[in-house]
Amino acid sequence: MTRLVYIEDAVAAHPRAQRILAHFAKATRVHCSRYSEVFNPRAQNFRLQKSDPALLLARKLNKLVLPAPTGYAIGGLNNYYFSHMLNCVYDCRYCFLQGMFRSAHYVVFVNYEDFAQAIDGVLAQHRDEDCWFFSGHDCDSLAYDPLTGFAQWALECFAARPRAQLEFRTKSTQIRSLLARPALNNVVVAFSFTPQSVHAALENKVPGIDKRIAAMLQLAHAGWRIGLRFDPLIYSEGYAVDYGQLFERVFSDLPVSSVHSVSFGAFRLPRDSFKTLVNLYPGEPLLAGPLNTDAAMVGYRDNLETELLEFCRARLSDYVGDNKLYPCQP
Amino acid sequence: MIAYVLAMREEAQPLISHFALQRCKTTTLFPVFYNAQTWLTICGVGKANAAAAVTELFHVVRHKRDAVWLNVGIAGHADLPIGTLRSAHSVLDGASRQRWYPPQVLMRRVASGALTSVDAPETAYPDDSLYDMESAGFYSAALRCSTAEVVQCLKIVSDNREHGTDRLSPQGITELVAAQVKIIAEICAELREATYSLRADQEIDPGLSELLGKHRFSVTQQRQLMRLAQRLAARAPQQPLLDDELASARSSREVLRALEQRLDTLPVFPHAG
Ligand code: SF4
Repeated sequence: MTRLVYIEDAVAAHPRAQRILAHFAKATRVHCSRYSEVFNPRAQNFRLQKSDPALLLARKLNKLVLPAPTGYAIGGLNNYYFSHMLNCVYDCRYCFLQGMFRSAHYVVFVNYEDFAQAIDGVLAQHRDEDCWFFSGHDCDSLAYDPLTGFAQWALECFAARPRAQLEFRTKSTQIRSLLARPALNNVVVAFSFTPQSVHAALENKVPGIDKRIAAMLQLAHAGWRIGLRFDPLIYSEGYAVDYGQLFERVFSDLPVSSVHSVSFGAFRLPRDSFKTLVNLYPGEPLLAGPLNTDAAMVGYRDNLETELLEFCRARLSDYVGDNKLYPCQP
Repeated sequence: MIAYVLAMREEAQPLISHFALQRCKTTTLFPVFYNAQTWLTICGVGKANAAAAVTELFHVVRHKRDAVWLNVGIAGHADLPIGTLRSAHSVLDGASRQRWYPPQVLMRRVASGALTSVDAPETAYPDDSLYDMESAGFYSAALRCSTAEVVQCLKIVSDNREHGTDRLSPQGITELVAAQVKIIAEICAELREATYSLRADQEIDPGLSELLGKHRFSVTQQRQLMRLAQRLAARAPQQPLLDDELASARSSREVLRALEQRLDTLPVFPHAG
């Protein structure tokens, strides 16, 4: 239950901010001039804040759309991301956001219209070419949707821009806005999965696998293009059985024709983020594993990583073929 | 550990009594009181005093990093009833206009409000804010000593438009704080619990000091040893650090190698299966 909402003065009267605030009638409202005054100061502890994060309503002023990191592509040449939100309502122990942000508060940028303008700017740079826009880099695209109304806005925005391809990336089951309208063929709804043992140990507050599969199937049957994201892959001695069972569970009822793309990548974190996570959770076994901690990108030692990736690639290829498979590694 | 910073003796007395604090005998610039877990200093009026008292107390407690820091005291507000307790969700330095936002994630027991730190008593109460004279100095200094979630200002309304500062008596101030001591102590206990929970999984096996005493570790090796012990505790919490192999290791290098080998034999992801 959000007890405190910080509101940038500039968005206090914004209709979207007002709509969101209506959900928090009992919360204390704190006005600020820039969200960064609350979100960015040093000496904050992400782990402590995760127990009861506040909400910040803000306006994204610049860098609204950025080039996507390498390894993000799912078949497109021009890849960008934009974030209507920072942080996530779930709490996955491997999540790189914990190492990236000092605060666990949820920031919602309510000026969606400015994102549309920035998207148009990118499209104008790539005349006659498709461009991909990923919306789940700094948050889960849909988990907070009942409050943010992001999906409905994004669908309208992308319906009017056929050259723009949108990816929602989610571990949630918040699909009402998508089911409420006909499927768009320039939108991919990508669901992330890990095996049951990983989900139980590391994905705090994330809906169960079966619930997510059910949501995914509903969307597939409604004609939406589905993405599958097996990233991060988590190594265990029983990985072959665990991932074998997971893939079987995910693909058993899903028509391959609905699958737009399947991407996969082993657990990895930039070294600075990794160090931050170890400081936050020194007792977390995942971070105490056989990792190559000297590398700029910390990941499993080479043999483990290769073994895991090769196994998953082969199995996934059996289900969807090679042409829909995208390794996430840069 | 909890570190209280209060402006006046009248405010401090109820906490000194509640926690049975004794006067610290070491010579200090500001009076300091303590027991095993709780420290308190009386800083006098004004933000410069508050900042100086935080700095001094930080040295007195030997730079303890994960302490709870609390500024408790009386404050004015235009219309909140006398005796109301509030934590500060924002602290504004009225002179410089610098503002801080103490995170309220752990402050579930008490409502919060804006707090303005002024250089002279405020009797017009122009904004919907509490007014005091120490919080800006306290907060800016204490933020250097601990994580923001456990650095807080707790204020008790002592005056408002109906009941001005001229009606405040020393005895009245003590009574206002005394009425809130129980809840203040409970809030502090919760904040301290939160810092303990962070430390719980940083606790290192006692065997570590035995190893450190037995072999000579360079600074880098000490760091490696700590992390290896931490990794072992994370992946095999039931296993004691010291086993026969480590006990018979002849050098720091052998200790580190043996620990790495032991880690290699453990399941990579102990949650699985
Ligand atoms: S769902 Fe994604 S964004 Fe949210 S905590 Fe998990 S990994 Fe992070």
